[in-house]
This record gives sequence, structure tokens and C-alpha cells, in this order.
Amino acid sequence: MRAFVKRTIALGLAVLLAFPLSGCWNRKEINNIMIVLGAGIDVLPDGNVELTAQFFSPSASGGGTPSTSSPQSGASSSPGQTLVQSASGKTLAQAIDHLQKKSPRLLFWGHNKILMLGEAAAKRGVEAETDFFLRYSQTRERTRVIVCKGTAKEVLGIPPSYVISSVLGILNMVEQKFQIDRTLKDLAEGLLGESKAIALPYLDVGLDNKGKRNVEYFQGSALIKNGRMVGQLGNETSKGLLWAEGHSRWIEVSIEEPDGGGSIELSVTNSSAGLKPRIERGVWKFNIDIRANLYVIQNSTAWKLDNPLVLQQLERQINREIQQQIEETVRQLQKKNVDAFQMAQEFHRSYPREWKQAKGRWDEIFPELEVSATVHSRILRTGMANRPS
Amino acid sequence: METSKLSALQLMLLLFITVFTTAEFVVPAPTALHAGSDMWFAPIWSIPAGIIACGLAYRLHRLYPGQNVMEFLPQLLGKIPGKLVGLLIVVSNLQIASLVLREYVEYIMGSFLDSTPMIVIAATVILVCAYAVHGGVEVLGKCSLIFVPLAVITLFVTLLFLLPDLEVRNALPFMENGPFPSITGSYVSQGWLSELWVATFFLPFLPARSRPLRAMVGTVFVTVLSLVLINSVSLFLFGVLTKELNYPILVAVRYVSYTNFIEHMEAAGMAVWVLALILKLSVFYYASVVSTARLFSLPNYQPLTLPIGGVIMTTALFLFPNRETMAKFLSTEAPVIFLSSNILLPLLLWVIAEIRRKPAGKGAPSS
Repeated sequence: MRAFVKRTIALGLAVLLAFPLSGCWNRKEINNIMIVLGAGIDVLPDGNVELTAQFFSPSASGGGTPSTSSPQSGASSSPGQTLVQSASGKTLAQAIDHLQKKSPRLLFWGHNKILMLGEAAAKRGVEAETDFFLRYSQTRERTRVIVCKGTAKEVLGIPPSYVISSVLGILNMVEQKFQIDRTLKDLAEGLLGESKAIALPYLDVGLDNKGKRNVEYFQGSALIKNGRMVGQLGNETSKGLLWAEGHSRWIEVSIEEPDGGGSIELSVTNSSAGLKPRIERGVWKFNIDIRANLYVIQNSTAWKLDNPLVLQQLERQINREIQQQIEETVRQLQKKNVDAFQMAQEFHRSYPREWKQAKGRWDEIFPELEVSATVHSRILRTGMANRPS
Repeated sequence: METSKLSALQLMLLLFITVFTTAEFVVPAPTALHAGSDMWFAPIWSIPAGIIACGLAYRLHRLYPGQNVMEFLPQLLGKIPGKLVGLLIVVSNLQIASLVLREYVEYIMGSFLDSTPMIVIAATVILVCAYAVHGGVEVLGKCSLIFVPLAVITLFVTLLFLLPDLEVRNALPFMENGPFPSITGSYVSQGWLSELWVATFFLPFLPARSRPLRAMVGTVFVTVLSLVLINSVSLFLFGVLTKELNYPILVAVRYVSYTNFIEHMEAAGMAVWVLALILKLSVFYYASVVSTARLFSLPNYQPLTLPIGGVIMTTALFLFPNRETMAKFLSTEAPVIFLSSNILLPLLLWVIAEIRRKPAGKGAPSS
């Protein structure tokens, strides 16, 4: 009998234990929060920071709630499932506070995927924003950082096409490695590193088929030095950066016939890069070693690609082409004196003693650095057709 | 005392988790600050501290079989000095237990439950530990068999998903400023490894024919290897940024995003970490309770469990005004205190024990 009573009490207590499982003070019910998908930062003319947040809008999401408008699927009929709100303040934290006070629910940052910096904000400086995002416990270090042309408010407000949120669309593009891919961690690491410089992907907005400005696409990269944007590189001149990343899957290489005839287009399937600093008799040199595998995707020349000797010749031309792309990027970076390859870090790693003496003079060394590229490319396949035969 | 027994494997797991579970959060940041790119191998310098702590616990165990440090102190030093040194050991155990609890509270509040009252976080975990401590060594040993593999495997499997993001070149330059920055950087992990001295409270429970020394030395190497792995992941992932992060390993776990599918791992990581922490806290909680009971020559330690738990909790809550004070303390004063109470004091005891044993031949008890 006593054992029975004891067991019943124990069972009752165990059931009671289930109640606090939902948490008490820190509970975040899904219907009490607004999920931030992307955050944009701009500078207003009066110097204040403007924060634009794109939220996931649960009302349009179909699914759970019985909605009368679209019984089949909410996603396809609605133009998107996001909501965009802005607020401003002297600092980012104040802007967030003001945004919170305008919002019916608590802002939830755990799913923030993108930090979009308007060009003006990037030019003013990114340190303060980086600090907030690294310090605050809800935000994640894998948040992608992107600089956009114009204001982030405008870019985040573009209605999404084909995806439920424009931020998620941009995230997909980032993950496909169309452009360099930088997370908050990369940015903070770059700002702290020896070169104090990093390149961030640069987003532009173009016209769609109806002539409206609402297609986001990556257009080269923004150069950050000492915490602020100091310049940018175009799509062509950014290619060197992509090669040095070693994951430039989507780069196209085009080899044109010298007499202006056709061209051979290739796509890179994978590539790897080795960065090798050298100091020879006091002269600082840097070599970027690229290995790339390619497929032929179009041929409008008279070259017979079924001939391995022809392919070898083509590979040599590709090597030269890639080499030129890298050298062009380096030339631009040296002109702007932004060490976006973070060569300084590499020198520090390989030549710690020399680096200690040259540390303060890196801004003078970098523009004069002898940078070379060695490329080993391999054409793996020429596709499903063999033309001209 | 209790008649329950502990196996050598259980002792090993218990000792391992005792050092590792808080070291994985406390060690990387201060090591990065001093050792820079040498931080990945810095924990190796703390092997001697671990071996000495284990060796002293083992040697004293051999000289006084079946007794923990509190029990042989009166024989070794005489009644009054024995009690005084005993008080020191009680205070040291209480201090470590409260520190562990406060670290837990700070970590949970700083990264997850920021608006939950401190006392709730502390009280819930101390109650669970009280239950384990009340159960005794056997409960702790059996818990270690379940919790430790779970915690360790979860952590390392999670970190495995970071492989594509790791940059091994961050380990260069190697010993840029000679070996000293890495030795300085290992200072904190040395303090942590000296905690292995707590084995003195568990050695008497081992079966007679077990070989605890081998298990303990094995623990030292496994712990150091784990710390090397943890530091390496921090360094290879964050490079120069490591020193600016309060909990590099937590951020590393949050950074996991594998094919957009395995993401947001920190909730799972935290859950198993709490399991491991309960073990560590229980170990020092148990040591505090047992040594207090011994200090006042009580026949049974169990009635003291809850009161001592209250002492640990209140001490933990009033120990520091904020996290920064705690972090400063953990990376500066704490290792000195740990090293003196876990290595210096046992070393003295051992020297006295050896001296007393030699001439008289009666100093050592007949067990």
C-alpha cells in the first residue's frame, strides 16, 4: 500500500515536471515573435543609422491557418511572404530598439541570414555594426555580409520572384558561389587580420523583362579597408578573387580566336588555389598557384577538340587567360592599395621574422609587391557533341 | 564509509569530464590571447601538471589505502594541524564547486537564457546534482558511463561538420616568438588539469586489483588531446578572431551549417553539455560534502548534501558581480589557486608522508 502511494506521488511529480519544459522567462512562442530574415543598414543624410528588416510574414504562409483566399497553396499565389520595416536611430542598437517599438511582436534574430550594407553605410564604416552582430547572442556568425548599390532599404523592399523572400533568394545565389561568399566571421577576421582588408560581394539591382528595376544580381565586389569601403571591383576584375578562393565553380572562361573568328567557351567545374609568399634577396614576391578543371560548353571555332594535342594547346591558352584575370585583379587592388587577398597574413605565416620588421610598412610594400600566377588547367571533357568533325 | 565500488573506466570517464567540460569553454580564449597561432598545441604543456596531480593522488592512496585525503590527514599531521589543513581542503572544494556552478550559470545566461533569473538556473542544476551526490560514488560512476560518451561524441561529431570551414594555415607561424607564449598560454589549462587531484576522493572505491595509475595517466593524455582538438578547431575556424570571442567553441557549434540541413546545432550541443556539467559539478559537490562530513567526524555524509548545496549555490551567486570579473578571475587568479590547492598542498602532504614513513616505519598505517 505504501509503495503504491509512493509510486502515485512520484508519477504525479513526474507529470508536473512536464510543465516547466516549455520554459518560463525565456520562452519564445512562434506566435509572439517576428522572424528577421535579413537586415539592411543605411546611413541617413542626418548621420543616423537606418535599419531595415525583412520579416517572415506568417499570415501569408498558408499551411496551418485555414485561409479563404488561397485554399491550395499560399506560397504560389502570394507575391511573397515577407514584410519589410525600417527604423532609424543614432546607433544600430537604437535603430533596433525603435524598430521593436513599432512592431507588434518581439524581433527574433536567430534566423537572420543576411546583413545588407548600403553603399553609403559601408563607406562610413562597418565596425560598429559588426560589433553588434558579434556581441548579440541571437545573431549568428554565419550571417552573410553583402554590400549593395544604393540603399539596403530599397534592395530589401524589392518584391521577391520565384522565392518566398528576396533575402532567401539572395542567399541561394550566395550559396551557389556566383560571387565571393563572406560571412560575418570572415569580415571580423579580415578586419582584425594583418592586411586589415577584405572584399565583400557587391549587389546591384537591374531591370526585369518588363523594364522594372527589381532583379538583384551580384556585380563584382566591394573593397573594405580599415573598416570602411574604399572602392569596388567590377565583375571581370573580381575574377582573380574568385580564383584565389579556390571554389570558383561558376566562372566561365572564354578563349577567342586571334583573328576575330569564333570562340571556345568553357565552364570551370572545380579549382583550387595555393597562395605562396616568397622573399628572395629582400624582394617580396607572391605567387598564386591555380589548378582548374574545365568542361567545354560551346565551340564556334574551327578547332577540332577531339584531338588531344589541340586540347593541350587550348589548355595553354586557358592558363594564360586565367593568369591575366588574376594579374588584372591584383593590379587593381595594388592601385587601390587594398590587400583583399590577405597576402599580409600569408607573409606573416611564412616569414614571421621578416614580417615583424616590415609590419608597419605593409601599405608601402603591397603596391610594389611582385605578384605572379601559375595556372595548371585541365580540360576534362568537351561535352556531348563532337563538332566540327 | 560506503561499500559501493567504482571501476577504473568509470574513474577515467569521471576525471576526464571533470576537467574537460568547463575547460572546453574557459581554455581557448585566454590561450589564444597569449599564444596566438601556437594555441593549438599549448595544452600539451599542461601534461606535467596533470601527471603530478594524478601521481600525488595515487601515491598517497598507496600509502594510505582505502582512505581519502581527509581521512588520513589526522594520522599524517596530527589532530589539530590535520583539521586545519582539512578546513583548507573543504574550502578549496567548495570554491571549485561554486566556480563551476557560476561558470555554468554565466554560460547559459550569456548565450541562451538571458532573461531567466540566475537563481532558477543555479537551483535546478544543484538539485539534480544533490540527488546524484546523495546516491554516492556508484551513481556518479554509472552516470559517467552514459553521459560522457554522449557528450563527447555529440560535440566532436558536430565539430566534424565544420571541416569544410577549417583553415589549417591559421596554425602558422609556428612558435613565432619561441616556446614561451604557448607556455604562458597553457597556464589556464594547467590549472584545470590540476583538478585531477580530486581523484583522491574516488580512489578508495576502486576494486583492490584495479590499476588506477594507468587509467589516470591515460585520462591526462585523453584530456590534453581533447583540449588540443578544441583549441585547433577554434584556431582553424576563427584565426585571429579567436581571442575576441568569449566562447569560441559555442560559436563554432553555432557556425555549423552543412548543406543547409544540419544547422542550429547549439541546442543539442547545450543539452549534452549540461549533462557533462552535472557530472563535473557533482564531483566537486561530492568532494565538498564528504570532506566537510569528515572534518566534523560525522559517520554519514548524506544529511549534509542539501545544506552544502545551498552553500555552493549562494557562494556561486555572490562570487562575482558580472561575467567579466569571472572571466578575468578564471584566466588570472584561478589557475594559481587551483595549482596551489591541487598540486602544492598535496605535494607537501606527500613529502611529509614519505619522511614520516622512512625512519619510524610506523608512520604509514597498516591499512
